[in-house]
Amino acid sequence: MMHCRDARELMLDVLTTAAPPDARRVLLAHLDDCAACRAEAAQFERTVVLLRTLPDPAPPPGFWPEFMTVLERRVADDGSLWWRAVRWLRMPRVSWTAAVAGAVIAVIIALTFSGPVPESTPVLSPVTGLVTESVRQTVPSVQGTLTLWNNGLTGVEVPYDFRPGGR
Amino acid sequence: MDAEDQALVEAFKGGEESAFTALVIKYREAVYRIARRMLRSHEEASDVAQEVFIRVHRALPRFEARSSLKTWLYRITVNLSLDRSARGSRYVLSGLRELGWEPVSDQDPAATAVGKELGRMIRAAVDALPPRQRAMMQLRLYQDLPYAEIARVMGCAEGTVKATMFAAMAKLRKSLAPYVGRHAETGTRGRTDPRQADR
Repeated sequence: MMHCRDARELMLDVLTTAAPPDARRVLLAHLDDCAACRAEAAQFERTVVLLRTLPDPAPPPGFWPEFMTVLERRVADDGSLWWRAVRWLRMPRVSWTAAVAGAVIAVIIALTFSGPVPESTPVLSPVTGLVTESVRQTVPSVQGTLTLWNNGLTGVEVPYDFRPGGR
Repeated sequence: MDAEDQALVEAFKGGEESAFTALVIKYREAVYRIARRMLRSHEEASDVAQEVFIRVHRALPRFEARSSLKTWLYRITVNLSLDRSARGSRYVLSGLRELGWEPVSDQDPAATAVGKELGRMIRAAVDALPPRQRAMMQLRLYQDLPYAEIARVMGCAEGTVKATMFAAMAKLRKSLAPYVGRHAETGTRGRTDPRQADR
């Protein structure tokens, strides 16, 4: 059973054919029983009919060709050269062509300006690490060890008659 | 989105400027009618229609097919018309005074409920609505857009559209009451009871 308030909310939908058929049936069943809503619905419908009697506004004769001419001119003038260039570049076929051309140019530039790669000479950097200058001065053996690391075993002069353990 | 619209949008994105012209030809009358019903003069409606298509031309390369082109176009049209309407609100008021329209019941309906005069009265009653109500009302009554689409055009909830439409119709019913009875008697169009349509 529909209430008058719900019926009034539904009236506009039904009158402007926005309501589904089942909602329309429910409203009509209510209108059969309710004289007040029936009168209101009739008034609503007359208003909708009256509003729809208004003809579609039509422009004066010869308007559209002039409209199109003006629009085409404005579209052509619209935006800067930069904007038009951006738009042109956004076109898929242009953007793909530009991407491929850019890649080819990048490769050519890379090959042209890159000479043979020079062989790098490794530079031995002195081992310092966490051993500070003060530690090296305080503990002479640390200094000796570091010298050994830096120069490698070939830099150590071992006496000919050297015997491990001094025996 | 409508298949034809989608094809035209894709063609435009592919560089075919004629696709844009085709879109303009397809939608120019609807755009003009919406603007014309929301604004007071042909010149203003024409300006708005031009501006709509200029904006569409700028934004179309970035347009995504997730939404309807028609809804998007109508949204631009309604927004521009609302802006124009807000700027020219003084003109609208003076226009109504020039029409001499007052929604009083002692006005003789017999003298006005015919032809152009009746049209002017209806137009004046519609013009007296707040702009958003006017926009929603005309999208529903004259463009036959469903509530959901009106909601998308207006950028609000469907329930808001229904409530606003109801308020607008209540005002129009009150404003046009002196002419409604006469119009029904002359029987220019249709039914007087919604039940008749179902029988």
